[in-house]
Amino acid sequence: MTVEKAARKLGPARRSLWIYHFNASGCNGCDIEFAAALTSRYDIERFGAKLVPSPRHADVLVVTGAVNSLTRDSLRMIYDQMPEPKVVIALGTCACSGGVFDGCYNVAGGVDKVIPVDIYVPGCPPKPDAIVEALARIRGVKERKAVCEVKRGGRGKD
Amino acid sequence: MDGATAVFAALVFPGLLFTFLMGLFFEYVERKLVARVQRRIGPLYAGPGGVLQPLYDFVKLLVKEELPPEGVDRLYYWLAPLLAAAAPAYGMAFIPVSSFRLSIDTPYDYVFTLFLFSFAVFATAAAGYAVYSPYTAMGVGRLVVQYSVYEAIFASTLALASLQTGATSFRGLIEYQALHGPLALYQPLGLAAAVVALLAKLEKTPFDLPHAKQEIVAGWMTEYSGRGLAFLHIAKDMSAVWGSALIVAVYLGGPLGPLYGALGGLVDAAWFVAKMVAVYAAVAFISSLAGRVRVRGLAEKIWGALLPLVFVQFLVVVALRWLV
Repeated sequence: MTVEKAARKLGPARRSLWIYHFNASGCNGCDIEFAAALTSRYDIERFGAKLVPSPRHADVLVVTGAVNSLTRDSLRMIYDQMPEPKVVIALGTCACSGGVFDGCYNVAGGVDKVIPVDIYVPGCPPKPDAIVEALARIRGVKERKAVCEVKRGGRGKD
Repeated sequence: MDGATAVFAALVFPGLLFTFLMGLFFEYVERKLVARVQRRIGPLYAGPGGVLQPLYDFVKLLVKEELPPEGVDRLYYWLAPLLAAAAPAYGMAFIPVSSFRLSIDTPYDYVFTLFLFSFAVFATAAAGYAVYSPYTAMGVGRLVVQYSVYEAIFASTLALASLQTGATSFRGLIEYQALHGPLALYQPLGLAAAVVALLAKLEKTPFDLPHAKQEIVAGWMTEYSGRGLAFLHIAKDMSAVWGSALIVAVYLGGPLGPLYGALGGLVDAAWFVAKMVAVYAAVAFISSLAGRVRVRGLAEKIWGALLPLVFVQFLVVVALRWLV
């Protein structure tokens, strides 16, 4: 029920989720799937989500990849720059737990070793559907409706 | 015009409240249109068809925490977003949106617009310089360069309209167009130049250098959050309303159209709003198809392409005055 807790924390902000995306030493697999969620087939702008360039504008921090000793301080700083209320989504197995890199000499582990994480979206990489589902549940849209919309989008004129 | 009417014009219609609501609607139109161009759906679940999404964004930013960075100039950080939002609302109060005279009506309000232009840019630049970080400094620098480039075009097109009609007020412009037809018939080149200058003024894609995401984070508004960001966002939307309203009033006959003056001015207001939305939809469409110009190419693109157009238009206007 962590998603519902995150939605309660956001309050009115859950109706307009501005997302800042940070890659903490990921392999870009999750980033590509996340970018796909923004494009025409999945289109998370339906929920009012949009990608913002500055962490000070953001409500949601999406982190991909395991945290290593180089990105640890940057991640902490980005998190501190975001105004309350804020939600952190760990996207992909590496961000959730460190994945295959857990235990390396330079890897701190999952994102939750550095900042508090509200929602874990595992997968290597997670499907865009999983990202859509997480955002739809924060937004309060019924999951079935969100998935239906995805299917209709996929049947487009292309 | 008495004081009460002027206050009503500045605060309700066509000033602050009207501009605010139209600004929210314009942002919705733009987001939906850009989404359709990219084969997406755009905002969907906020209100009918997602029309309340910009309002939700605004309210969310208002209630969010505001985090002023260290070493910020408190006064400007607090004041500049308000001034930036006030400039377009005040500018709109002079625009004759309806034949039922609600706008502030002075003999030189058309000329006064030029002052408000520079004031709006000054407020934005002050908002950027209130927080002196590398990204805001670069954003403001680009903003001022861009302003000095497009302002020459915009001011000269407005001056050409004034030259042909002999008017220094919006009332005079509308009266001329009521007699001779919309100014776009005589000055199509001026209209084209003004639309491109409007793109640069609104920082839309070919000219979005001051807040170019991939280069300088969010430019002059990088360090804003919460309330300040809400006002800066709404200031941008309201500038879009004001800019389109200027183009409509100067070139497209303003509130003139079939059934002009019916229903106590409601029909004219509807004409004006419809033309404004059409102009802004065209602007958003152009910007959704374009790529960004380089900083070095900015003056070359705008001045090199548009100043000859404006000059040809100037010759046409002089010839018209001489012939007619």
